Amino acid sequence: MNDRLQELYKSVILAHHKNPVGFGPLAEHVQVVEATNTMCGDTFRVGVSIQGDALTDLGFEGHGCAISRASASVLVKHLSRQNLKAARGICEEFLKVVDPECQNNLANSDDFEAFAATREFPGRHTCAALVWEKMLEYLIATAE
Amino acid sequence: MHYPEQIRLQFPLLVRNPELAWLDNAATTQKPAQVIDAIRMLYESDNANINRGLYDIAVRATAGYESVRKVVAEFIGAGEGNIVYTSGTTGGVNMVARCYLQPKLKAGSEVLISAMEHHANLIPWQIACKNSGASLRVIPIDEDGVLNMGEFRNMLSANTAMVAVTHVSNTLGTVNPVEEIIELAHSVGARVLVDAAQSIAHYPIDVSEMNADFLAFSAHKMFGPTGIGVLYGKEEVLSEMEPPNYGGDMIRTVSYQDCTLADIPRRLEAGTPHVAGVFGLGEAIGFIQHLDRTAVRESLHDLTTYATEQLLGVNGVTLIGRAPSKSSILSFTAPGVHPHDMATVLGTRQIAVRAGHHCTQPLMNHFGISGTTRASISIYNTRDEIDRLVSGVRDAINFFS
Repeated sequence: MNDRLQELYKSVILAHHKNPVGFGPLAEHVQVVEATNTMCGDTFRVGVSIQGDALTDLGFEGHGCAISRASASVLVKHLSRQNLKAARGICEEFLKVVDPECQNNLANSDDFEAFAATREFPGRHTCAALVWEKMLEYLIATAE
Repeated sequence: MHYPEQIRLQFPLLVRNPELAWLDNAATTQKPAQVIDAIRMLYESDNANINRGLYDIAVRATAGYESVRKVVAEFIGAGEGNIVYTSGTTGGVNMVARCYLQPKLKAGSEVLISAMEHHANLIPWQIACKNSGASLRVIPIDEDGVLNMGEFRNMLSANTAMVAVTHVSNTLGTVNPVEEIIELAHSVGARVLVDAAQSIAHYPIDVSEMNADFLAFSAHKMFGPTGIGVLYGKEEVLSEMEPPNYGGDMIRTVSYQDCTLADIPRRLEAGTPHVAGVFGLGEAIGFIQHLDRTAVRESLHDLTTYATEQLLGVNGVTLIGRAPSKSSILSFTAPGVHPHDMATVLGTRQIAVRAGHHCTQPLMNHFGISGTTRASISIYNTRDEIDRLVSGVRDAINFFS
């Protein structure tokens, strides 16, 4: 495999793809944030409950490519037990990391840093960003 | 004989990208220099609006535009009056569904499509049925992607208003027995539309022999430009069609309160059309006619057989679409590798394939998968490119396992 691919599918992404955090059937009582990539039809459903001000019961189900699956796994890992405001900030940070317009390496976690390589693959931006965009929309709607 | 390496030299994009293995021909084909030149020459030498100007250039533009109609007609065994220019296959199917069929549909009417239709030959009928209270029924296929003709026979009845089927499936490669389908449909008085988007480049099509009522295709899948296509229709069905647009160029006389319409096909072509596209389409047909089409089909068949054997030699690769009668389309899944990841891996090796549902989501659901990787072979593809594809697939599987 060439360097570009090695960079894209860093061990972090492959590890999350193979052993995703919080992957499995969603509990019945959770709220569901659905993310469908219209280009391929792949869909993930992220489950979340809000207790007090904190995000709990995070998990996801569905199918998608290695990048989208790893992205959902990282989301579950990083948003669990965060409060609403912090969760919004984390979503915004992740989306900046994968934004093709963004030139800086802003990531302060290895998990996020691994996704920066998707900037070099414009066709794959949606795979990385989609669940985060939908989660951010949900968090904004919930706060209103 | 057919020599892909030589054909390749006629395609500027492939010459500029010598490492590029273009295996996404079912999505669109590349364009030979003569098609690109024809479009450029139109704008450089003969650009004028058609059917209006009385000066030389306008006369040339109009004559060129109409002469292509004749070229298209002869190419598919039709009369000039049966050729309607459209924006592409999608435009043609929509026109038939909305302007011909929908006004005739009523509660109890039935439209039959096959389970392997592209969304473009599904949604227009779905909407026409919803708008009229008619039913859309789906002819099933077996696990190899072959149409169940027995079931099709059972589904036909006096209520069948339209049968819309693809000639060649863009996802499975299945070649459907359209002549038989048409004969059976006609025996109950139904009309038939054939989606020829995937067949027009490589299969000889004679609409009068086939006896289709409608046949639609796009120029861009047959080495021509995007944004232009053709709808063929028998005279009796075209004359019953409501114009999709009203405006200039499709009328005979106009007053503020009334108008009389032009004859078909111009009645169905309001407004300034895609003149350059038509010139490109004419040139694309000329290009195809200069090929030894029998040798091309044999060569494609051999290369497809080779690719099938090689791909199936990779551990765990499964072909989706194994019809005995199949075009040069290979859809496959690989263990542990999502089609998008496969296409990214192959893309970094300059191998262009399609990944996903190929605009056939219900079909993917039928096979219980979310998508496939699809390699579609055309006249400029080589054995070497297939070897690179197979090696990329093998490496991708190892990488993700």
